[in-house]
Amino acid sequence: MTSHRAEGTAAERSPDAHARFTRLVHEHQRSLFAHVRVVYPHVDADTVVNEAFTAAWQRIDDVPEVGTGTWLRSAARYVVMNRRRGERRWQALNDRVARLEPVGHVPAPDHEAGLQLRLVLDALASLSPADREVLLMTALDDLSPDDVAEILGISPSAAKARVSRARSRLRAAITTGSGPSHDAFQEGGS
Amino acid sequence: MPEPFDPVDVLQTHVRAVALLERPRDDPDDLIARITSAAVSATVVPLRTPRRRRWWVAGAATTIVVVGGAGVAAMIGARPDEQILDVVCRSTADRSGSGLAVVAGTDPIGACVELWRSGAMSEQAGAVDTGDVVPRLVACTGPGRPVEVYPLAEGTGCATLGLLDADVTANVDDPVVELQEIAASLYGSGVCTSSEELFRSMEDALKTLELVDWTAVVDGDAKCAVAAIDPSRLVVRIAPDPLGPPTQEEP
Repeated sequence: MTSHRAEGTAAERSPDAHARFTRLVHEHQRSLFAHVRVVYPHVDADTVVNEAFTAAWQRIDDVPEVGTGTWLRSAARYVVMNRRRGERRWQALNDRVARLEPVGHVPAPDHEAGLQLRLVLDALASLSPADREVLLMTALDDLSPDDVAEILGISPSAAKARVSRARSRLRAAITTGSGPSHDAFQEGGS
Repeated sequence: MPEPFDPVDVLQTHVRAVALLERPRDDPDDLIARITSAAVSATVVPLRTPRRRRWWVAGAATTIVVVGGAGVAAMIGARPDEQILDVVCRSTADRSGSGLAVVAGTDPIGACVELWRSGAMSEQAGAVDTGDVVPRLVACTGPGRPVEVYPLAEGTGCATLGLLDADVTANVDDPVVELQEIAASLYGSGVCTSSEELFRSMEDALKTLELVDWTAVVDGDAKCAVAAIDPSRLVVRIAPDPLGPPTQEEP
């Protein structure tokens, strides 16, 4: 993995590069935004998406034709991690927003579904950031183990294990959970 | 009792609803114009390549990490029931040198490799500027100290710093080792995992890790169970935890 600097302006880029970048933004902006919004709810998704696309423009020749979405997610994660290093309160912030409260209005689920959701979000909040990241990532998008591996910068077998472990922990957290939502769910279903 | 449900399905439905409701602020054409018209001189995001070797460190808990020198001080709470480590990546072979505290998941050395590759470590006070080159990294620990990853020259180890080698025990690219890690994370979590739950999780893990010749067997139902990995017989044996509460009796 290398890090280097690129210098240049639009005038120095070929029309092909510009056309490809335009297509890339139109095709991936929405899904990349959703990914960042859901997986890293503590950051400003627009800013991260902007930086990830800036990176893509800087090295447009390196952006693969196949797996572009994965490349962009990996770039976005890199941006988030860089920001996290400078954010001493990251852990606290992440915990605070781990419930993934939507900004917009989500139609209210029925009573039991609502209790289930609260239980799941409480369990999610009790997990480590690493578990949350992989759970949210795979819940939102149908990512293959290879995709997860590339985004996280780990081997595919380790990615599979990480997903499996995180799901097991989520289930265990619900089974052994406590607190108001757990009690309400137990009562609500009886 | 309420109906059983799959939390992964519930989570999936919810996050997809959240994703559908929110849109980027920027119009795509505005975004394109802004990015392509600006002079580009920011640090380029590196391409990621999967690392070959992944290590994990068993059992450690850190409450407060204070990094000396001109480094970063961070307070990170780690639950002792998880193999999720808070790690200090040191920029020099010096116990009181500067460094960065990170939440490293299960891979402390990997997390520090990432920092070295990003150039963040070379920016620390006193660090030798190695550019993108990652020096040899060794995980050390000591009484009252977190896991710390030091750049150490070949032939030297934690002992040269008066520290112990951290218990770097396994290469998790080996699926059996990964299986052991998963098992340990389930029954070593400080809370009881039932035989049924552990059986389901281990079956899940066997499938995920593509250990097709392996089987999981339950030796007695218990509220608190443990999983024993037997590589010679390709069996995961789930048995009552000898240290847990007694086997569940029907009232």
